[in-house]
Amino acid sequence: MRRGGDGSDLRWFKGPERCATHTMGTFSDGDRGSTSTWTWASKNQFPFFPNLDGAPFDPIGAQGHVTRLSVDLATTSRPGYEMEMLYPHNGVLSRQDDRYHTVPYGVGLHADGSTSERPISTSSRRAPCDAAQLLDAVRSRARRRATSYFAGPDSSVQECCFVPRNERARPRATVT
Amino acid sequence: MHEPARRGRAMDAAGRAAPAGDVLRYLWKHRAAFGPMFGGLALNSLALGTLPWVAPFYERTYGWSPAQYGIIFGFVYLLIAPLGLTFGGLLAERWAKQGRNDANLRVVAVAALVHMPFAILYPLMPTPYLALTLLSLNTVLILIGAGPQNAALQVIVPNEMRGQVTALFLTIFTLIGFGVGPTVVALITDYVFRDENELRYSIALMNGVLARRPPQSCSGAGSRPTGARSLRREPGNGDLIPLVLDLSRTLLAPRSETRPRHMSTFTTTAPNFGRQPLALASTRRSGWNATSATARSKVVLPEDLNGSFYRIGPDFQYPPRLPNIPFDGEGHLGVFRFAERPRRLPQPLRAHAALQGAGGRARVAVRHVSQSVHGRPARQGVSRGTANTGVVFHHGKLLVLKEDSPPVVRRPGHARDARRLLHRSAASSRASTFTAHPKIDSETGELVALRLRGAWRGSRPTTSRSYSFDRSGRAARGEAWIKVPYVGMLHDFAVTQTHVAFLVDADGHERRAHEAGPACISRGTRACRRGSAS
Repeated sequence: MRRGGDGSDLRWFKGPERCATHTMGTFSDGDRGSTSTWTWASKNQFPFFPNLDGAPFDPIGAQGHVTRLSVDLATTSRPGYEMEMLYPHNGVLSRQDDRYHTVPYGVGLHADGSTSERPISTSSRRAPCDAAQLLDAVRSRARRRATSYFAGPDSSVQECCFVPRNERARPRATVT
Repeated sequence: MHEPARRGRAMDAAGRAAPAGDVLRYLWKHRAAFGPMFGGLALNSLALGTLPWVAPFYERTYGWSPAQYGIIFGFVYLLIAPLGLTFGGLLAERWAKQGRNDANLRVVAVAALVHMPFAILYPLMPTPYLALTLLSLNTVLILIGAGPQNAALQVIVPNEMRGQVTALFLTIFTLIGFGVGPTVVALITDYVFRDENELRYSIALMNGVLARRPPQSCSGAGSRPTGARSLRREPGNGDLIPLVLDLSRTLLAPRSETRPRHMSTFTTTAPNFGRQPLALASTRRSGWNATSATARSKVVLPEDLNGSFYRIGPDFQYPPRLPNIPFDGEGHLGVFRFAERPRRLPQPLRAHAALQGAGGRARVAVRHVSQSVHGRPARQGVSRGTANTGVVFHHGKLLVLKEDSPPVVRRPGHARDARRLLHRSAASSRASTFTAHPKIDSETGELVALRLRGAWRGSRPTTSRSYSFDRSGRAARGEAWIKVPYVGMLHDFAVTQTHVAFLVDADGHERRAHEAGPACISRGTRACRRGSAS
């Protein structure tokens, strides 16, 4: 849907069943399309929301991955969208530097649950996120890398955010 | 019917009834008996001061409207009141026949002693019906003493003085009980707990400490008081005050002294939602109260870090409101201030901890921004939201967000009641719901937002509205209503320089969505859809 419009140009694109939580960032690629990055899982990510068919919560299917969705707006013949899992690590609450919303971005953060050796919590039924993971070179498939910063053996990481040291600083300093 | 002959009359030689002066002199003469009795009964009447606050207590704590409470407790009172009154009279008679000449006041004292735990505990209950149960027991036990209390006064006062003494007693009883009592409760709420939503603790404190002084007895039921004996020498009564004071120390002590926060969790079973870790109700209000023992001291901060970090989330120290999910917890806004020098935190925000860093120092302040109002009828100007999900800085204000309600607006650094500021922002006044994840355009500073649930048309799903606000918080470019193809979780959304995109997760359960309950997630029944436009 174009910004500033009345919503009459809204188009829906079908895709497979997924469960998305947070947007990391989104930008337009000219008139061609839009690209957004989400924390994205194949199954319900919320253990306290019951499944309609009574199926138990699936902690594996609920693992979130930073995934890019791209829509081609130039043609109406393609009803779907493209999906690309950017990093193999699972985590939650992906986030980019808030100063770069709506424009192309290069780095992100999320709470990393892929490297934890701690047991799965009986309450949340998922592995604890005990590291903040810096997702670098988001736009470059060749240079993408992820670096984990562990919070310690008895700590978990909540949503991370970028804290610029000053207005012109590169988005590096973080607080979790 | 002939009036029975009066006995024990206190007339002078001319046959005149006792004037007021004689009554006062009589009371003063027997002050050893009447003093403790009047004083005890007057203090006891302070408990009445909590009665006008019971309906607001139910409203603020459990979300019951006054009408709802009135109907339920009124009916319960009709059933239980005769029980207490009748039993009290029968018990006094029985003890009198056994030779206890202070039977009436003994019943009053025993009733006051026995009902005290219920009076203290009922405001602290986690559920309204448990509170109602204890309140009913408390009421029955109070009423056991109501009849004997009046009878005790009658039987020790000479015939002609009974009317005047009773009038004096009722004056004291009413002035203190219905005049001073409610005011004391209000003052405790405002100046001790400093939060109107913590009325429950004021009532408990009032019932436990201030109003627990049972009347003193005198000997000689049915005869003149001698002042030689009093119930304060009776077993049990002398233990009452120390017990109450111990309890008051528990109520007033800092949380960290009574129950460390990290130990205050338990696991309970939430209907239909599995087992969740939820928090045990605390006897104290907001406060993280980190100490040097619990706060990490090995934080290394960049030397040039200077600013504030706001954090929002549910606070689990309040009792669970099942079947609400944990995300429905009270909003708990914290601010970490990083500076080379420690700054004085704006009052009444309090610094709870100081984290020493290598090159800087951080202070932590926490404060609730909203009290839960689940189930309360909407009131104009009062948000039902818990403000626990997102915090965004825009047009000079902090917007504290929860999807089912308008933003709670705070000026950074100020700790005024957020709800009073609620409608001073365009962002607040335009939305009954508001996304917790608005996007701020990097180029224009425009805030693009989403109203998550618009209108229902029959059983069909909702429309959602997208709209935006400029840098100054004024409504900017046009609002757009979109119709979601099916009920699903439209949690976050995406904004580019030119487009807005929505992602509707798997199907939700329409009936539950109608009931504004947590949505259900289906598995594999329908495809996801992602909206965008050219």
